[in-house]
Amino acid sequence: MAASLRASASDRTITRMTARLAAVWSRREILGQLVGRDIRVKYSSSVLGYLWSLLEPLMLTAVYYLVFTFLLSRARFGIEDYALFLILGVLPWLWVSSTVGASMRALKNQARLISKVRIPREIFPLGVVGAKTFDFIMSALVIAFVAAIAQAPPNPNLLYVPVAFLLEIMLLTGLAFFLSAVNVLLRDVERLTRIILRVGFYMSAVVFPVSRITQSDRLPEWGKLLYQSNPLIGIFSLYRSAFYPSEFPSTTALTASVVGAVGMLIIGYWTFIKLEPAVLKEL
Amino acid sequence: MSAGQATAATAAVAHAPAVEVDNVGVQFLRNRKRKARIRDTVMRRPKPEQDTFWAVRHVTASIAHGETVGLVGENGSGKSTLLKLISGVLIADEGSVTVNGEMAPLLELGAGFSPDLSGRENIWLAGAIHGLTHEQTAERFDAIVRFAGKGIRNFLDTPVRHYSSGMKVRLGFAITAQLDHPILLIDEVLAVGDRRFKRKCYRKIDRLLEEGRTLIIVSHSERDVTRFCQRSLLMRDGELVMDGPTEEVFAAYYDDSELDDE
Repeated sequence: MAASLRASASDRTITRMTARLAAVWSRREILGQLVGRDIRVKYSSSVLGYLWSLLEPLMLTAVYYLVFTFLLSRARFGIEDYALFLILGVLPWLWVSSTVGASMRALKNQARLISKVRIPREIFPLGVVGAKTFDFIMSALVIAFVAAIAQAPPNPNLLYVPVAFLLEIMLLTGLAFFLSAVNVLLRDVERLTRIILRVGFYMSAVVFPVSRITQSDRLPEWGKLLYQSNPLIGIFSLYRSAFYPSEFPSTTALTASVVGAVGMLIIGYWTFIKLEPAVLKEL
Repeated sequence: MSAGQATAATAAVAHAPAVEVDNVGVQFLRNRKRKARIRDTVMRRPKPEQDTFWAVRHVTASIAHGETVGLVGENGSGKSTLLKLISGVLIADEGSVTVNGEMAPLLELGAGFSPDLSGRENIWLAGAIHGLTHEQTAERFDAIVRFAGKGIRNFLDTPVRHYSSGMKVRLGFAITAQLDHPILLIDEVLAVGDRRFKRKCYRKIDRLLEEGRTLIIVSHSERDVTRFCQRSLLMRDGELVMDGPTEEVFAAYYDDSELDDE
């Protein structure tokens, strides 16, 4: 009796989820319009247009390259073609940080529209993820360019890049759902998130190889395990392994990425649905 | 309910009411100066009961297909909140709202406009927001511009931010008038616009009503409500105090206001 009741309750949750996703799908035209609008504004209204989306990753790469090549002369971590290594970390990282930054305002900035017109609210965080993904794909062309200059050919691990891409999208979608809703209700989320992003940059092996941590003798085992539980480590390592086979992620890091991406998507969407009534009142 | 499902459902429940509001209520927080902090949430401070109030409570009403109903009441009586609950931009804390049929997801004309986009781009965006496909918007584009009038046609490529409030309302109404949704909700819109445009709107609404659409209007204007609605609902302090013929409801509404003045 109790079991069947519980089953019907979870059935209802699944039916509700399915109905919601069907509603989003039936209104995908808006998603296209909103993403298109953001992209048009970004790429056409400024003189540099598309170049802007390349400038930030290139500048960051240049700065770290200079710092780790000239200032910290023992550095570069013994990596060949350090610029290529850097950009393979910097681009996916900028995709994370720009999505996180924009998703916190995904619902807030559309408050007028959301409080007047009935649209599936999922559209707004999804729109942010869509626009930032487009940026990432466009800027990824730089990788081909840098690789060509360094004359570094990719290896068969290139086949894992779509896996890393999908995992990152799932993770970011979950984060966007979570942050867009929570940030409407709590006022210090934005500040806290900015700090976490700062730390996250260094916690995600963007400028140095993961082996620096995992093979360090100054860190205890649990510390290494904790470090690798960051889902971004496995994802970034997968991108890198396409040019640096030795960077291929450990099973621990890969597991953390898959569990983290799927888990964040579920937790994020669940939170979004749970907070929706309160969010609508607050907007 | 998604648009597609709604169409399929309409045939099966044609005799069911278009909108059914069952003992609905929504609660807001009073006296909150600022948003909560993470600390307050984690510590789970109890919320005292007196800090909340019901903007709408114990409202039960049923609106049949093809009916036009006015929502009447003083400022802050909960009529706009009720319309929001019906439209789904607010979710009820108590009771339920059932809508059978597609509803134009619109509350205020021009609300969906993006100020930095031109009038032309906004028509496309509004089309998408209102559930039209790309082709459907393309088909209706000219009719929308024609209805909005010459004042809009000459400024189609100007950002909507530079439009006058009248122009925004014209464009907003022109888009709404091209929607097929059987249920329309309108919140205080007929107040703006010059006489000629108002007449045009009235004629358009008459035509929509002849087509058998269901219309819910929120308005203070007795003229607007009396012209379209045989039936009205009177709200007071978040509760539905009267549901009847429009003239009687307005009589009661005016009595209310006078009592308050004394």
